[in-house]
Amino acid sequence: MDPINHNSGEPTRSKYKQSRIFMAKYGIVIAFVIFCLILSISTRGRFLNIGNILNVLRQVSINGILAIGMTFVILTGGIDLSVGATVALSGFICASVYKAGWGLPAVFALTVLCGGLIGLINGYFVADHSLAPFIVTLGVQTMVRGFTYIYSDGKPISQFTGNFVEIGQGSFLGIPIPVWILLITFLISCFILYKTKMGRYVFAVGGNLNAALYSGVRTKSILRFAYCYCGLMSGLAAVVLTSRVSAALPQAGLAYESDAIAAVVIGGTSLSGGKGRLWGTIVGALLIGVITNGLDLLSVSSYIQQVVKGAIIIGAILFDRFTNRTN
Amino acid sequence: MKKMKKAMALIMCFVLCMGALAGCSGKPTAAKETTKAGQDETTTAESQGASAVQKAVEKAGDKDHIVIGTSIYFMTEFCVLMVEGMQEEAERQNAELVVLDAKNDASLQLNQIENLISQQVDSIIISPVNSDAAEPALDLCEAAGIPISAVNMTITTDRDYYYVGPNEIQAGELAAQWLIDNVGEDAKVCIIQGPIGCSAQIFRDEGIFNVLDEHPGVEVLAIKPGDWNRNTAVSLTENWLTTYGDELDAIISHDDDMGLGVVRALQSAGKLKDMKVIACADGIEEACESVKAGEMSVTFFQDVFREGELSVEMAAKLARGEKIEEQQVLIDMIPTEKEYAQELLEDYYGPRK
Repeated sequence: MDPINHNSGEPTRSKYKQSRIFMAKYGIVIAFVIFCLILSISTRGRFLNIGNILNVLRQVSINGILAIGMTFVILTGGIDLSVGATVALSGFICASVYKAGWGLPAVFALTVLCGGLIGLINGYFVADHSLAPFIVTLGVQTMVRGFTYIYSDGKPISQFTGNFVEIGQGSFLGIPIPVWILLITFLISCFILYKTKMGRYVFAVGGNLNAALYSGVRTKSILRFAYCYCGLMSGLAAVVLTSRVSAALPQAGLAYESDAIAAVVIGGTSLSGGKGRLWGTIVGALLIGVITNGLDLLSVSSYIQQVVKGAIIIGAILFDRFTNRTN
Repeated sequence: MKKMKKAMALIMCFVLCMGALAGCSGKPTAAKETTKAGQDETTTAESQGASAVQKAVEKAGDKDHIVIGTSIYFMTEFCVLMVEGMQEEAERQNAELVVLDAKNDASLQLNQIENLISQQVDSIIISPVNSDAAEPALDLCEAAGIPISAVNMTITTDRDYYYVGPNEIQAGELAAQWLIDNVGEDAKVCIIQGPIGCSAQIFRDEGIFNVLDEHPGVEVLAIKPGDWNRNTAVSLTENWLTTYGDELDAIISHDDDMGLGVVRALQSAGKLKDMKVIACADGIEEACESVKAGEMSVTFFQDVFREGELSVEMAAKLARGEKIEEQQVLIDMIPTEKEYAQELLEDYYGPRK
């Protein structure tokens, strides 16, 4: 199978194959729509109104941003477990920089840079030392979390004045600012992934590292880039999170990587790399957000919610297996 | 074709599961029917049988029925007991209680508050994950015009807000006073705190040092956060034993869970007899057992069940626009040594089994 252009190819042989390809591509969307329909009916309009839709979008934005970064890493066949810890440390950079009286552009730049730097460390070990991403990012996660505690001395930074809190809590043209950030991030990421050589190489590296290497792709740079990009996204998410709860907390972002990975997987990106799509990740993140929101609206207890979320993740992978299995 | 069928079957299973969940959303543990007073709705009654239908109809016609939403920072054993108190009071208040677990995630807690607002509950109770990160919740509720009150953890803000919680300063003061009365003016002590930044940690520390500052002979050898985590407390204690050895007279823990960790560590080091273990608060069942067995020296009982009841009572009053005399309701801490621990186990915890 051609790892880069897996959706195009030979003309369809039968109606069955056609519909199977359709399911493989849009199954997640169908599931999402069905789920939304059920919720709209069972909550009697509480789910499907503008206020609540905006809620869901705002709630999804942090995980969405993280999941976009995670998609890059997973496309290379890797994984990044340090995302949550990166969010926490970047959050403190963000809060300190803002408290020091710097403007918002500087706050954004430095926080995102901090995330990118941590991503680069991941990338360095994965690419240049060929270490297993799982272990590298696990180690980095622990270290970064530790640095967060050292830096913060375990104490939160809060009580922001001025317009910083608007980032997470405000709206622009009636749409919450975090959603704008997610949208812009998504568009830029799509451009990078689909329209630049770098992005296409991400698929190539994940599809077959050696093949890519022998075709002259600088695989190490691509790997470093993917992890760095994931780090940058974590930094961006940190700004939104810190502003949203109007505090930098040392225990922030705990286990955020699991939701991000879940969104990517539900979205149909293969954990073995080389195959996936960015819009699927967004739908995956939306699905997770809608589940939580919808079940909250239905007063389903938090305990049951976790079971449902887990079942949907496994269901998504099973679904992927059934529809995407190539002959 | 077979695979296609399988895929479809999978989707159908998924949909059915969702449908079933939507149907059983009125689980008695979480909440009763999502019916609101005055609105002409009956709930997802098809899965609940005829009696439930009747009940839903009764409630829909019942103008007095209200819905109270609550987001709890983390469902510890302690919080579960608080929620039991809330449930019981909710029944008395003809209210339906929606309980959400914020899993120690401040951002998730805000999401839940937003979702409760979307659900148009009549009153919201928040038990903040972090006092410093809870102010946005006040803003949200203010904008939506839904009354909010806090329970068990305060909110760091300049504004006035409604609160039911333990008297944290008293908890710290009592613990420190017990140390001075039982160990002496020249006690050497280590302190394990809750997570830095939550109100319990801040005010229990304040209480402890209110007393210790008046007794300059007492030496605090070390003070570190144990994050309400028993395991962390075990490691901290082990390390302190290595560092200070026999110098150490007592360890004060901000709560029972960590205190039990201290007991565990001292037990395995064989030092339990030489040392006092003081927990500032809670008096959970396991701690009472420990005090009764003579392991933990003392804890200070906080009637968390009552706290839950009071918080729902307050939330219900807020929802109905009734007058509230005290904006802050503080619950007294009761010293719990062997005798009282025995009493608590028999009269407080015993009947709940």
